[in-house]
Amino acid sequence: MTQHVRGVVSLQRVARGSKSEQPAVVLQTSERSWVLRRVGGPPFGVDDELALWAGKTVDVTGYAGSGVFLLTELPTEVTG
Amino acid sequence: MPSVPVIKVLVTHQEAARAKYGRAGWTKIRHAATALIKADRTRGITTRLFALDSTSDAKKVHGQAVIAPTDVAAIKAAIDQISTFWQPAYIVLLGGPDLVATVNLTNPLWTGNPADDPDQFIPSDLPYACDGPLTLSPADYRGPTRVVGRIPDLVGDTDLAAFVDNLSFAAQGKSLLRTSPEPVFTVSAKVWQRSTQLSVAGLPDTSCDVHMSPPDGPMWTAGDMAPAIHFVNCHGAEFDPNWYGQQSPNNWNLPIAIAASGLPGLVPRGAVVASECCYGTSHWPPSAAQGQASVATTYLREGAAGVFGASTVAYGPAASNAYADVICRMFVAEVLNGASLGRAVLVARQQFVQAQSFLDPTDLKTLAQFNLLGDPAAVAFVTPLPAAPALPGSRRVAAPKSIPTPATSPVVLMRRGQLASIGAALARSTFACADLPRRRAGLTVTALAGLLGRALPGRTTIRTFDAETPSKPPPEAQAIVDTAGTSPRAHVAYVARAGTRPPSLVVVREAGAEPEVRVVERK
Repeated sequence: MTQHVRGVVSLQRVARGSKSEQPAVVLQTSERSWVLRRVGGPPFGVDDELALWAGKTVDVTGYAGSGVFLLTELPTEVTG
Repeated sequence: MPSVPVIKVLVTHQEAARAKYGRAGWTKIRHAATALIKADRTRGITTRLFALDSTSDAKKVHGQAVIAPTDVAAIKAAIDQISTFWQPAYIVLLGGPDLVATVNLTNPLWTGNPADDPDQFIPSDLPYACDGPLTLSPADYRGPTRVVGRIPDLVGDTDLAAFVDNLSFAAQGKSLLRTSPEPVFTVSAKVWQRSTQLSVAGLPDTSCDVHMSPPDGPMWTAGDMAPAIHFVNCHGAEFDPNWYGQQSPNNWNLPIAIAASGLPGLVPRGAVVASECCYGTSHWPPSAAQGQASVATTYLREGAAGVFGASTVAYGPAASNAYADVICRMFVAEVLNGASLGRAVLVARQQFVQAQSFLDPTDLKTLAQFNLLGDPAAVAFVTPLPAAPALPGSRRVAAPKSIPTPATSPVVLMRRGQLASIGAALARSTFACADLPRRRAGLTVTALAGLLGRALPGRTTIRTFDAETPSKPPPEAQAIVDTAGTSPRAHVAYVARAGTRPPSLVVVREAGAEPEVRVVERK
């Protein structure tokens, strides 16, 4: 069920005008962008733990939903 | 004269169920399905278990066996064959997407930027409720004709009891005598108080004290949750087992309004839930939430008859009604009037389409994303016959609140015929927007600012979607199009607001008259 993807983390305001509008951490992959969350993390707003990865390219593992990529472990920074 | 049977079909994928639960597990599922079939017989319904991957079952409807449970084209084709040959009054998708896949429809609001709408697809059961071949365009499902619901299992989880219990509750399901007024357990994010009050004010003969979150919840009492109808206008999130309130538009420290973990022991048997929450009925594995299943599936596990909710991000204004508000209100109104849950969904979908001059991209997402979890044949309410006047000196005996669901009359088939005709007419005549916008917007930022009566940032992006009918439109509609010189169209923009207030989704609808501006307030 879990997947591995690579992307760039950023902070953005998501789902504008919807019932879920919020500032959030976003993962931009080569395919699409996801709202990034982690199991046990806050469902709304910015997860300070994940915000630390903003601007970095990372490998992540987790569940891919309709709009959310839910991390089952913390990201790994891609270097070099 | 022999009566025509009222048919219900339980559709599942046997090999997928065996792979997930083992042979012994499949046997238990089949036994639970058999119990439902027997119970349905007493309700006047002839129920058949149909294995999508069974060649012999496929032959019965002149169809093809479905090899993979994820092959939505084959599943759709099989259900179309079932509908053609048996004309079932109820179609039940038996299992979650692991067993019978949802169709990932194109989301016309998706731009690739999660700042707009985060859902690339809209997981939906709507295609199974419509005639016509499978496509991924929600506009192709503007004319639903069939009664469809899903009795789910837990996706990505092998808790067999959760699935079997859902089937058992369906078998044991009873109806309630409708009271006047019928109480409704209503929960609203505080920021949407006005919208929620308008929604419940539109329900027939009900009493609703709207609970605001905050301060109310999530520690509800059995008394709070005793009403058979639960109407929830709150926040939700994907992979999250709670629904949330909100104090003020800029406060994102959201309090929990309803927690899945708080539901056990509080849900009245046979309750019906309408949830406007984002992701209210999305399918996700409990392992994503440290073992806790979603609010919707927990409601079912606790004996609710059905949950009507959204698979993805939903929309609605803060102080008026549109989109999610409207389709949920229409669903609940039908349930209160005695419809089966599945018929309530079909009628709500059709009324939702009929209520619009044309379907804009947000209408299309709303129509596709709201689905029923639960037995579509369940009937929540029976209206009692008028009581005979009490004789002088006699004592009124209180009627039991819960009663066996009355036998389904073949009249239901006449009703299905009517609804199928309405759906077919809607499919032919309704204008709906395309999945993709025009290359160039048909409205300038200056013009949009004029409509909104305030200045807008120059970087505001406007997308224009043209609406069409699949065939020649009715003469009246064509006359309007000819006069206006253009087909109906919708301009969609995410618009920043003054100060710290967040941007809004603005939909400008043009259909030959003055533009109608819908501002979906931040929710």
